[in-house]
Amino acid sequence: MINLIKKWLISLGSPPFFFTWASKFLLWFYPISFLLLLTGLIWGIGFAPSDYKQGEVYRIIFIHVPSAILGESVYLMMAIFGSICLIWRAKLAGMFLRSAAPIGASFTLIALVSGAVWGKPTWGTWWVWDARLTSTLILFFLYAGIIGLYSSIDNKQKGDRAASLISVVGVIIIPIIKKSVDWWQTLHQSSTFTITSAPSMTPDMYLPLLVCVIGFYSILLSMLLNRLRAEILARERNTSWVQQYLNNQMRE
Amino acid sequence: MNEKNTLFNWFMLVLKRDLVLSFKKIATFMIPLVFFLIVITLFPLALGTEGSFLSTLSSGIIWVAALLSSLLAVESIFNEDYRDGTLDQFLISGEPTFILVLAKVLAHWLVTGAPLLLASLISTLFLFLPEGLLFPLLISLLMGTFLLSLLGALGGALTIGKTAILSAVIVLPLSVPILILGVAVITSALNGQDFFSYLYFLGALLAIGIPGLCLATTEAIFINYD
Amino acid sequence: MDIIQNLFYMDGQGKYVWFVICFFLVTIFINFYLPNQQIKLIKKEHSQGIKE
Repeated sequence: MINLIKKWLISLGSPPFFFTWASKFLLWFYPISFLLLLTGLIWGIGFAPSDYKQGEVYRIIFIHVPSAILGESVYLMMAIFGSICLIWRAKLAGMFLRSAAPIGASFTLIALVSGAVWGKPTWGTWWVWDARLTSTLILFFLYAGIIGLYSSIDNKQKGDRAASLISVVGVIIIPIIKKSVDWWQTLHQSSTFTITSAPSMTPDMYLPLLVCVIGFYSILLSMLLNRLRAEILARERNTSWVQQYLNNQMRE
Repeated sequence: MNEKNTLFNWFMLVLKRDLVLSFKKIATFMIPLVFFLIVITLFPLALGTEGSFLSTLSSGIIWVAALLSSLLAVESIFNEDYRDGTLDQFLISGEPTFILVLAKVLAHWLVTGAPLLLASLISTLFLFLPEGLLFPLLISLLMGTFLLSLLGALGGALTIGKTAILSAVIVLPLSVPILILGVAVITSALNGQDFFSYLYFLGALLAIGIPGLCLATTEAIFINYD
Repeated sequence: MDIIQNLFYMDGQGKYVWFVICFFLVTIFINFYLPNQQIKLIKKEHSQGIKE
């Protein structure tokens, strides 16, 4: 059984196999991911009870917290696949970085913007220089740097390896963001999700939040696979299997 | 005869080419912007995060960051074209180099200076710029960044093939009056005085700068070809 | 009717929440739209290449 799984994972490393698998997977996963996302968002924004202190504005949390979690997760994934790209020179791992970076940057941007808009009515200011916000801003700059790096290098393989290197180096920031709330006295609310301790919200609130996080992760998977497909087609345009695929597409 | 149009056509040709090239690689457009924001971020990290403290420094910090990011971005003006020989072709073609320089400066400003104006809006949130100073800041930056692109083109032409830092070192002392004038606009607005006099001054610099600096830049380009 | 009013205004804080929702949706949309455009472009180029 393990051998079968190993074989399947290794065969996923080849672009044509991955492409056909991803296309088939997305056919049924797309609607599921959107459904999960919509369920979480509508439940949270429409039906969850209002907060005692903040009223209705706290509902931004259902977008803000999942985006922040995703922004960090994507960077972690980039570091993992980056090291795969560097160590084993797997082409697909390199392409993953180019697909994931803009998505991670988008989610970090959503986290920053939603946080700022949330801060205005609750703390009275659009921005405050506390540890968590600053680390998220720096994460956004890291993403921007990686995107700038690989888009300025013409040779695709070189660009992949350069981006892999810098994402592996930059992955140190992730634990810093996690620890930042413990290290510094901050204005920011203490962490809502920890694996060991209980959340500080009522179940009425953290259940929709959980569903939102799951919804966001599934949307992330859809986005990643979609982008990877586009990246594979663009890069492997001259190979026979892509030509074959495009011919088939034309006939439809 | 289309005599009247050829100068304009030449200008638009160079301008369009530079713009298309810059926007093809999202990096050329995005990097000076992100650099500007990073420099802005460094100041609160280094100096302290007190709101009232930062707001007194905000206009100066934004101006310094604008200076640094427009001047470090001048590499893209001439280096690429020099390296692949396009600059040679432009010079051989017999069309006026003055117009070439003007078009390149405008392209550079559209790619670095104009986005910088938008980024400065975000940085007013980061640095808690006092209300009412937004308009003087934007208009002084508008004129200032164009002057900086002009100066940057001169620096870039002088240092074709070398690093951007070298051209920044050459040009930064020359850009001190722009910095002083730009910040003076904002501080006089802060004190409630009429800040338009300083804007006229910047306008005068622009009026002299556009012909003068473009002329100097064409000379600088020809120096590289002796 | 009352429920929809409540949902829209959210005691005066509706503008913040709805702005964030719209920003989020636009960003997600862009992230799906751009790769699909890329694929369409590749298919178009391919079919043009065959016709030549």
